[in-house]
Amino acid sequence: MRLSTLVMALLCSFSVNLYAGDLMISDGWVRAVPPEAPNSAAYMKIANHKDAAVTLVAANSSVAKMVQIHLSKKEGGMMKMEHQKEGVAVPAGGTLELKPGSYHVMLMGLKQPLKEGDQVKVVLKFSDGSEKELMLPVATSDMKSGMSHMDH
Amino acid sequence: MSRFYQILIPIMIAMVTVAAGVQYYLYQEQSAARERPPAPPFTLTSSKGPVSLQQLQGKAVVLYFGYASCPDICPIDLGIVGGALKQLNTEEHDKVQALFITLDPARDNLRRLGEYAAFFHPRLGTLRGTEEQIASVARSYGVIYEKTYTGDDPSVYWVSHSANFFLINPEGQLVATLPRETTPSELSTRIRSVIN
Ligand SMILES: [Cu+2]
Repeated sequence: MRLSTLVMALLCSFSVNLYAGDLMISDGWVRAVPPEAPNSAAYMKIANHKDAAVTLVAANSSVAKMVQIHLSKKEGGMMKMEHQKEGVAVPAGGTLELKPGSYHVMLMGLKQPLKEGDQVKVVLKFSDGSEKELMLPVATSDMKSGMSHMDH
Repeated sequence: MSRFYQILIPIMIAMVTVAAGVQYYLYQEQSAARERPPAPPFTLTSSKGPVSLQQLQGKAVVLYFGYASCPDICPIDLGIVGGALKQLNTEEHDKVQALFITLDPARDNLRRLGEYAAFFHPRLGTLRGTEEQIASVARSYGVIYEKTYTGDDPSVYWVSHSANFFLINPEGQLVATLPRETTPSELSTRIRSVIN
C-alpha cells in the first residue's frame, strides 16, 4: 500500500467519524427564561456536508409540550413568528443558522423552568430520515460566540 | 467692473446665501424643539397602582410594547433596554423610567410581567390595563398588534406587534421612535442626551 493511499484512507475515516450523517450541529443553546414564562427557543448552526440539500422538518424536546420550527420576521410593520410547516432547508454544502430574531426551534408550553446552566435535550428530525439528539446549554444572552457544542 | 469685483461679488452672494440658509435651519430646529408635541398621555396600572405619563414628568421615559409569552422578539428588545440601563450610572437611573407595556393583558398579570421584566433589568417597570385601555394607548403611539392562533386552543396564540422604543424627554415630549435595530449603547446615548 502506498503511503498516500494510506493517508487518504485515514483522512476519509476521520471525516466519516467527525461528520456522522453529514450534518454537523454547533453553537447550540436555549434561551433562559423567567420562572413563569411559558415559552423559549433553541438556536444552533446546522452545517450540511452532503452534496444534496436536507430539510430540518421537525424537532421535539422533553421540556416543552409542543415544539415547532419558526421564523421571526418583519411584516406589515410588525414583528411576527411564522410556523415553518414545511421545514427549513439546509443547502448542500451550506449552513443554516438558527438565531435570535430569525429561524428558531420554538419550545412551547414549558414543563419546567429553564435556568442558566441547565442542559436541555432537543431532537432534530431531517428529511433524509436522520435524527440528531442534542444536549444544549441554557444561557441568558445571545453572546454565545465563544461557545461551541459539537454533536457527536 | 474690474476682474476683482467680478470674482468677489459672486463669492459674497454665495456666502450670504449660505449664512442665511444656516440661520434658517437653526431657526427651524429651535422651533421644532419648541413645537414638539407632547407624547400621547396614558394612565395604566403598575404593581404599585395607577401610573400616568404625567406623573413621570421630570424623568426620561422609555416605552416598549410587547408581551411576556414572547420567546424570540421581546427578549431581544428588552435585552437592548436592559443593556442601555446597565450603561447608566445610579444618578442617571434616578432620571429615567423604562416601561414594558403588555399587549396581552389577558395572559400577562402584573406578577408575571414584573418577573419577566426584572429578568432584563431590575429597574425596568411594567404596565398593564384592560384590553380597551391597552388598545387605545397602543393606537395613540402608532403601535399595531394582532393575535395569531396556532391551533384550536383559544389560549394558545402569538401576538405579532410593532417593535420600537419610544423615548420621551423629561418635558413629556416624544423625542424619538427608535427601531429594534438600535444598540444598547445608542439607546443609552439617546437617553443621556435628554437627561443631561
Ligand atoms: Cu417562535
